[in-house]
Amino acid sequence: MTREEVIALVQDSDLNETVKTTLIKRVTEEGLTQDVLDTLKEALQMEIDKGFDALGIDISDTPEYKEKEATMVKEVDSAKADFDTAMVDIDQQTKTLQQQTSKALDELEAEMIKDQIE
Amino acid sequence: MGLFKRFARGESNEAPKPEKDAEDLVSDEIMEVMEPTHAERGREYFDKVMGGAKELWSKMTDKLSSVTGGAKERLFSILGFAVKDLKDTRKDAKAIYNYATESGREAVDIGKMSLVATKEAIKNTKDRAIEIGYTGAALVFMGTEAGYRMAVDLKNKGIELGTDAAKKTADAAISLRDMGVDATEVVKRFGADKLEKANNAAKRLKESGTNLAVDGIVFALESLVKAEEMGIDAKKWLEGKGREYLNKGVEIYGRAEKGTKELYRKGIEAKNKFWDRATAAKDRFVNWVNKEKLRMAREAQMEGKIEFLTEQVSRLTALVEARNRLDSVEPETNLISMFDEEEFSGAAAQEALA
Repeated sequence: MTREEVIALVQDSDLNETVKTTLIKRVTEEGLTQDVLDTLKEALQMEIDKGFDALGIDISDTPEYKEKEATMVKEVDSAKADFDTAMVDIDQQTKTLQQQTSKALDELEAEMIKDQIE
Repeated sequence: MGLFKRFARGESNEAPKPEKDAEDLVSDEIMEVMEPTHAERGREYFDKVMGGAKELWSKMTDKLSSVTGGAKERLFSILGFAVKDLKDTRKDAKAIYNYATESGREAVDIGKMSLVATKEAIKNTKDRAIEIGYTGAALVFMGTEAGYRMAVDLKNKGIELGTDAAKKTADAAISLRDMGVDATEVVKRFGADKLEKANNAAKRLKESGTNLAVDGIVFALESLVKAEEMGIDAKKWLEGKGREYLNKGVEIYGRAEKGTKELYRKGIEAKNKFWDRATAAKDRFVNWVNKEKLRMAREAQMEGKIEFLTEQVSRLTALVEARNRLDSVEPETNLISMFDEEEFSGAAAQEALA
């Protein structure tokens, strides 16, 4: 979908006018970034949830719902755990880089002091 | 708990009246309404995980910036460009802080724009440059990311593109680029108003036999501009031991910068991977829930017991379809991230934009 198509989708949707204006402004100014797309989906989903709530449709007590929800939580948690591991690794490498840089700076400073003495 | 709470056996079959009676509904079913719904709890869980990841990433980028930021400040101090008395040191630190804050804000603002939006903004800058009368290399420059950044930065500082000051700044940026210095990086680090000073510093370095096409060279330019602002004769300083020290400083800074960029790239990769996996898992679940709920609503509709459902179901069907269509939208690449991560030069930017 192009930006124009997404704007038309928002325009034609059943969202309220204020929400539509805000969303269209973001699409126009920022384009279809991941963040903008997530916001669009969330706005529609909130409207959907409200609609189903108004109809009184609730499936949260069904075993299938619980199973699907548990799968989703497991997948998100697993993705987060991998992300955390990657961040720990990057943190370690950042510390090493910082130590190497400090050492090189110490050496340069020592060299300059030595030059001044000589 | 029934699947159709409000229409469960023994309850009213009338449609809930929205808006006006909403308050009554709350008071009648206060306990039920006060309890967060499953959707709300799901949202809370997801927001918490995503928020945690965002916070972690933000801490990581702070740490990464502190590697180069710390190295730069210490190098300034070692090379003698840290100001002598406390008053000046404070002033200097404040200037660095202000600059970092300004550049950060600028980067965030531009960074929020997508590839298409940024391309358009660059095109608009170029169109404006044509109107004003920019020609030749200056006009070509205005059609690059560096030109766009320069125009934005100058405007923020109250300098219009049509003024002589802006034209001189564009010339300085072109001259820098011709000497092999990434003009985008200079605008980002120095601010557009210092491009001329950076250009003079680059000329001096070149005259002293320094290769400008190396990692960390912008640090050297920054050092010289800083030295001159402090009243140090940069030319004389370079003729002495200064050049040797500066070259070593550039090497150290270049290594720190290169290492930081690589770690940043790795971090971005991990962050994007996490984001994709988490949102895909959420989308799969949400889509299933929507589909299931729609199926049940349609069943109730077909039984014909509740007439008003027809309108509600078609409304919800349209909303669900709209949301599903968004799942297939490929996010646009962020132009600025692409520049930052792949170290695009002005010329490469032009190629990418062509």
